Amino acid sequence: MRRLVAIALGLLAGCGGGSPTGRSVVSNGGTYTVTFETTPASIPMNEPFTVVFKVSSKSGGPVEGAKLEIDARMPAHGHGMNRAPKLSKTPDGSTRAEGMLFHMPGHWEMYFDITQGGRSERAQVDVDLK
Amino acid sequence: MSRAKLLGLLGLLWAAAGIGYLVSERKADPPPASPDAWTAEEVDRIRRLSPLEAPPPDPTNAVAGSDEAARLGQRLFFDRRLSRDGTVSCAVCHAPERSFADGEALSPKFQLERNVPSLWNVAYNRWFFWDGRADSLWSQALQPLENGREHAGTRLQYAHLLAGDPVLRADYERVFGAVPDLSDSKRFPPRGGPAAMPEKGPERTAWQSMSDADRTTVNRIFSNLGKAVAAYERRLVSRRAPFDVFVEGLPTGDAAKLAALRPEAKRGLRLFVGRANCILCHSGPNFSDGEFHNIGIPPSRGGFTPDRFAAVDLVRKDAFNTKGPFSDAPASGETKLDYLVKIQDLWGQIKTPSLRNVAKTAPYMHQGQFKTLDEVLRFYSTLQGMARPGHSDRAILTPLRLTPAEISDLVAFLESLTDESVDARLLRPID
Repeated sequence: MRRLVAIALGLLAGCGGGSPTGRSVVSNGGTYTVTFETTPASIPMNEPFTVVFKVSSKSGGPVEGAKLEIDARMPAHGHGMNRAPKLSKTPDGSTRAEGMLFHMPGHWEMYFDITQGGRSERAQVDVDLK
Repeated sequence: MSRAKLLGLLGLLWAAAGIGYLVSERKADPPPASPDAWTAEEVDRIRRLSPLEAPPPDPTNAVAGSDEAARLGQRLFFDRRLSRDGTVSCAVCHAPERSFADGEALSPKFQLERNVPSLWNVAYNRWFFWDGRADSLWSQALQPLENGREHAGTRLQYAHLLAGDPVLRADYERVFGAVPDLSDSKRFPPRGGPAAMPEKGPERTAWQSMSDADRTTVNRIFSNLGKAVAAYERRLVSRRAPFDVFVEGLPTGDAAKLAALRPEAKRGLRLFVGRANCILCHSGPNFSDGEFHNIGIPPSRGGFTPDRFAAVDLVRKDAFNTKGPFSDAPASGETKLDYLVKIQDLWGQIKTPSLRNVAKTAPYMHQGQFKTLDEVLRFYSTLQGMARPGHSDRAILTPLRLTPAEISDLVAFLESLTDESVDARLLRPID
């Protein structure tokens, strides 16, 4: 069900023009909430964009020492991005992913993978790009 | 129903429709429409394809916009002395009268393994060569000059040519400043380069015998030659085809402009942005995403090759890449090179070519596998002969199952992307 919630949130964003800006999504195990925004606010077609995201516990508390990764794929195509973003920390403890690029129009899934204590959970957002 | 719920529902419906589209599945034909009755969705998709703005700047080439650099570049482009035996210029394969290509599937003269691509709109590329093994136009221009199957010369030879020819030298010095003194033949042998063949032959050895500083001097001249050629090639722009005139007419319904496309071309355009979904890869106003895909075209020579997968390493180690010491903006190179990743997805991928002037650049595909646009569309229509991916890979393309009339309409549309109205002075050597 949580996965469904995530997908529904993503689709909402897609309906608004291809951007999940300022959204929160719960990871599939329910442990984390990922809040993120993109620059530009509307994910551009075939141009680089940046994602800044912050992971918090379900209750909104801080998450320390987790390994954070971001990726994206086109499930209908069986491929993802042709490049790997670079991750860095921002002064407020968020994670900044630079160099994301969705090179084709259509349905993308963007993944936030959070690993802590040997256990990984994925927060997933759907993006429909025109 | 609340606004949020309604939006969510609409989003679900929209996404479901969109996903179906992506895999190019055959859908019911739309009801017949008059040629100029476009849906809002079609207009939105069409207007993403025009106008094509002027080429993006290339900060890694400080003289990219210089008239004088372009003049030198044009001289070099047509100069057959830029080859081992004095017979090969860039224009031999990239012939202006053949749309800056050679009209061959695979050049029999040079025994090439890739089709000679047209240079029209090359300034819009993100990557260069079919596999993207160069990350700038100027660094691309250098590789054929030393390729043993192509110009087959060496950078030392070219540096001496430039230093010794009063016309080239004067043009060069106007752009780049004084040509360094290369007259000491012990320090600057007449021929040589890091990849000169044979491996232990005199030209390779000559290069290796030079000091680092002298090699850098020659590399600087060599890279400047590439930058001048790029300054010229950046002017080979095609961006006012009948299709562009048509798109100008769309917002206002200007009948004269809408008439720039014949009815069959309009039907082809409707397919292009609709059921045929060509815009999946041929997106944006240059009709290319500038990226790489494997569409399963069987190789005609050389078997299956890694292409983009291998090119990632090649561009990373290219001494003339946009992050290297000869780039005029190493920081801007980072935006491409630093995010490169070598993943299995890249295996066999080839760059999406622009479709502007495509009717003039037969044969088609990276080895010229198809002689005509009709053949290309028949391939997409049936996928007959397609090299199937392995059992763990998914075929993205499904046959479009176009009727002969639809193929003809799509060809008519592609023909509407022709505009070769560039300044005629760019099409011939400078007097």
